[in-house]
Amino acid sequence: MNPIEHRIELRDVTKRFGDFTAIAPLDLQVIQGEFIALLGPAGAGKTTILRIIAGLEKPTSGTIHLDGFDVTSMPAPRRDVAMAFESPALYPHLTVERNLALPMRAQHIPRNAIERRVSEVIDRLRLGPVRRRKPWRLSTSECRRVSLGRAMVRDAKCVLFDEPLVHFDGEEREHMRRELRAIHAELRATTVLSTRDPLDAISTADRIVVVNQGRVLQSDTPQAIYDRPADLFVARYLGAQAMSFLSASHADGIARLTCCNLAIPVDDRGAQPVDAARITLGIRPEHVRIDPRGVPATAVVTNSTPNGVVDLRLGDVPIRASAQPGRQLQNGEIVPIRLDSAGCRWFDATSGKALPWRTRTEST
Amino acid sequence: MTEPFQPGLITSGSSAGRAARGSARAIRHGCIWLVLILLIGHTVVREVGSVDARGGWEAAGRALPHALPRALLGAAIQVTGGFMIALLVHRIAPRAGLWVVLTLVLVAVYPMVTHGYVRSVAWIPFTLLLSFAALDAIPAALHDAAAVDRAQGWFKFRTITLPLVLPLLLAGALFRAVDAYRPPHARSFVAAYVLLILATLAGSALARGRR
Repeated sequence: MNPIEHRIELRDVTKRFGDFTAIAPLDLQVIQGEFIALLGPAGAGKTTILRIIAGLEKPTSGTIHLDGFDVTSMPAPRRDVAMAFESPALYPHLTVERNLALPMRAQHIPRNAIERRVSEVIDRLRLGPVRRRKPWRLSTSECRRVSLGRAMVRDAKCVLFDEPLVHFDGEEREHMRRELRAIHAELRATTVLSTRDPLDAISTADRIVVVNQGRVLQSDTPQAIYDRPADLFVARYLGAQAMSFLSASHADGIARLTCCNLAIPVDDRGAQPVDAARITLGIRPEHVRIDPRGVPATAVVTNSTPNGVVDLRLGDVPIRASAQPGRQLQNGEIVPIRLDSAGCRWFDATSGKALPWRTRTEST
Repeated sequence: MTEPFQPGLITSGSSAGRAARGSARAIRHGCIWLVLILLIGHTVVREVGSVDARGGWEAAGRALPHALPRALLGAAIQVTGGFMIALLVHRIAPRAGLWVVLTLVLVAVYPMVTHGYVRSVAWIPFTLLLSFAALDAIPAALHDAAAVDRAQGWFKFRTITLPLVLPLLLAGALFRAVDAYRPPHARSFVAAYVLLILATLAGSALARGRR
């Protein structure tokens, strides 16, 4: 037999609910000990993917392998996949402690081992003060923590977290991200998390799988997805420093921005757009500098906030730039900008796909 | 005693909500104990009342250990029977279940009511319907949670299903016990009526749980 490479493997999985296609043919591999994040908007199919892995949902077609074994028709309890639900589906008649203990009791683990492990999890998730309470006496965030705890209390083959961070705010969310990371570093359990927040995905996972409309758009490390988004959707979705998009046209190795007639020389080998008149330049604020030397384009300041990003208007198109340290810009001020060639990403506006072009000169 | 099951999403409560839950608990306990005390008290009073007619405290002493256990045993049989059938039906046809149950009720009630000798068993469709509703009210999310927590079979029944339906079953049992105990003579009509109302209140408080 082949050596086991993937702990979780979905092959050509589809799922339809009546007429609605939740999952288009989808392939997904997760290696042993990996931590991946399914990132996508609401309704992208993230929860359905997790439920299919857990065995709570049968795929319409395709197969699921765990550790190389086909488990497509195996019921959930036999798969040994733990899952934390968004709902969060706590047992209403059991206290926090007993909710956490249940997955281990189901496996007939000795009582003292259960108590030890449950206490560990309670300490980790700061549930000490409420350990003897029932779910109806918990706050939303406490409920969420119990649900996460229940998924990781037993030593499952893999752990699935459905939107684990959605009900946490501010400092607590930060803490929970670090905790998820720390728990994974400690247990090395194969983990799949789903989230709508790019920052959650970037700050927790080894690998991000961007999902939309039941399809995988891109699967790579957070850095690679941030630097080289595969299409316009990913480019728009990912990054706290959202990309600005400028439409352009292309001819003979020169891309010309529609908004200000700025010409940018590109190395256009590798791929051609469907329609040369419809391409898009995507650029993140850190690659748009306010710089007196980089004259060709001038922009108008529309909003200057203290978070290091300035909103500008280039022609009639909004663009975001990184602020110059120590210089307070006034609204309406006209500033020269420079686009870093290293930060320019080109997209075919017709198909939305990224073009593998390089921008040639340093300053445009 | 197990905590009653509260259907729907479990969320945190305000302090006002907690106070309301506290008073619901008081009402629930008040009603249940009142019903039990009245059941026993009424038995005693009735038998004492019949001392003149039949003479002697012995009659009272004989009747009490018989009438009440008979009512309680009958209720227990009816509820257990109904619940077991409901479990079966719910397992076989969780979606078509309600129609199956309604058909069963129609099939079962008619001949049983006309043949008086299995009066007690004739109430099984009622408890069956109640049990089925209780089983149906367990959110699908909890079944999912149980599945990924690897709870199945007898373990799942013992730790999840039964505790969640028990409050409703107990309410049903109480109701049945009071009804089965209903004394035959007219002068006890008012007492029986009061008991029924109290049992209904207790039952609904039980079924509602802490809200």
